[in-house]
Amino acid sequence: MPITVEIVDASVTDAVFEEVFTYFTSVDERFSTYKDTSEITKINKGLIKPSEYSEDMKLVFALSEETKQLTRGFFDIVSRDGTIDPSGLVKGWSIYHAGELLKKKGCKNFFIDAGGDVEVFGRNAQGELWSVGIRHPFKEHEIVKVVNLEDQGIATSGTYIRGQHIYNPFAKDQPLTDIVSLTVIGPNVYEADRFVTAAFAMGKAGISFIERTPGLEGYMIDKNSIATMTSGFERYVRLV
Amino acid sequence: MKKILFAFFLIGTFVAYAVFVQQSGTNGVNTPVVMDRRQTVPSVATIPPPTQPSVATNPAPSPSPVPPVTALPTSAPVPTNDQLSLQAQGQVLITNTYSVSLTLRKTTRLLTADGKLYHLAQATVVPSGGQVTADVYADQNGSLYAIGPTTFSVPGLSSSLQSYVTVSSNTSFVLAQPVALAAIVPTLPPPTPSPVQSPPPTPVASPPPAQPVGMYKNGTYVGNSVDAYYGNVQVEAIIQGGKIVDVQFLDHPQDRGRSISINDYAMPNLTSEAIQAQSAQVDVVSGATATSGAFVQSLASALAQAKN
Repeated sequence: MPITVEIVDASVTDAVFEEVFTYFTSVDERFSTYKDTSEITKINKGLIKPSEYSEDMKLVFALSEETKQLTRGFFDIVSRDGTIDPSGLVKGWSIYHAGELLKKKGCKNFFIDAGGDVEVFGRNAQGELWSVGIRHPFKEHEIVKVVNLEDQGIATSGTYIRGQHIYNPFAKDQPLTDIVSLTVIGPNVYEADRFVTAAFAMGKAGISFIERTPGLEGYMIDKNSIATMTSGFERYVRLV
Repeated sequence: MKKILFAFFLIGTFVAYAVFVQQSGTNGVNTPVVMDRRQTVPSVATIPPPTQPSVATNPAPSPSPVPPVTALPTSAPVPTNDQLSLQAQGQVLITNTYSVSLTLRKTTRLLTADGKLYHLAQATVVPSGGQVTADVYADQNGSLYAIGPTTFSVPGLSSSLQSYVTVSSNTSFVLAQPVALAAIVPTLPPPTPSPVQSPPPTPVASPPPAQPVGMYKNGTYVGNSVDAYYGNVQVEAIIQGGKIVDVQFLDHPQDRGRSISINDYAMPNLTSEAIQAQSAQVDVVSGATATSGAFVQSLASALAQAKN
């Protein structure tokens, strides 16, 4: 997936971009279960003892455990055969930390977008709040809503779009169920990403879960193009 | 300046499986889960003696003789029955210096350096770089736990997180009526008087309604077992009046029965609207990436069977 970083600050240099992308590469090198040389692959092969885990790995495991409990056991990075894959948490976590890295470098206005999960900070090039579109679930190149965000994260889960067809990438021949898209705005992209994943899998009940969880707002779209939003969502919506 | 890195960043691996569900209620008790399940019971031997002023250790500046032991029959630090049935309670200050907020669950264990165990009375969210005050109660009843200001460790946190979280009390804990157990005492549902003797339920072979309403036929449908990447998921959809009224997990990456109430969707203060395509200029777009569909997939196959 492409990772897009936009930094508005005039003082920004290529070196800052390099550093962010180097960070993402290092995360991938450590956490990708598709790389034979990654730490997580070595852990799964039993080549590394728990006492030798990197601090990042230990922290991701701890945060995954916390998320598992917040979602009552269903967000679990450990499969039945014992294989560990923390990727579901690492995406939002790493975008968040890339943002922290930019802040440390003195960046005050930027966004980071990794596969549709976005962290925004400060203002855009026009000095306005960042405008984030929510992708139309049935029309790939259109959006259904624009929200204005500042120092927040937003993440969307949904069924996969290709051409004019929408389908479940893991069950292409199965009919779609009711919910096709769920977007969550959170205090940062880490919170938005981990909870949108859990809530989307709940189906229709997902939006209630978001409503009940402090600090989160959500926008859910069903297959009949009806959207349901949490009670605090509207304050982010840009009137076009 | 905007730059795009086309990378295979963790690609293919974001099929995290997560479902939020409600307790099925079969147990009747929603037992709080502590962050880890090891129980730390303070050993009696490690509990220091109560800090009652001891006559024997007092210096005797005056020539008056030390009173005989028999003169102090009531000063022995034996807790009264009242004290034994009371529970030490108080407040602690929790500080989180980690870069994300942390949620400490209800009953999270707090341990003093000398091994006294306390629990958080409520789930507590500690924001990043923030401090919150939280109510705590002692694990055991009795005045031994009514301690003065001190610091606590949080043994349930992973070792890497422990250095980011500090817990301390600024005021003494006081004895009060135990409150901790009240929250987890099972409340039995009231008996439901049935004016008419109802026939025994016939879960199978109930005849379908002559005129089906809604898009689904009444009944219970079991979906395919689907590999959810972290374990198998199989759901059962229950259709009544042509609508989905419940979805039960038959198989999932945990060991307890759970269900998800579709009716939960109907929340009063949520507003709905028809979506409208826009082509407004925006800075960035939030869209779906590949999401695990194991739950969705199993449910879909169950509903496919229920289709009219």
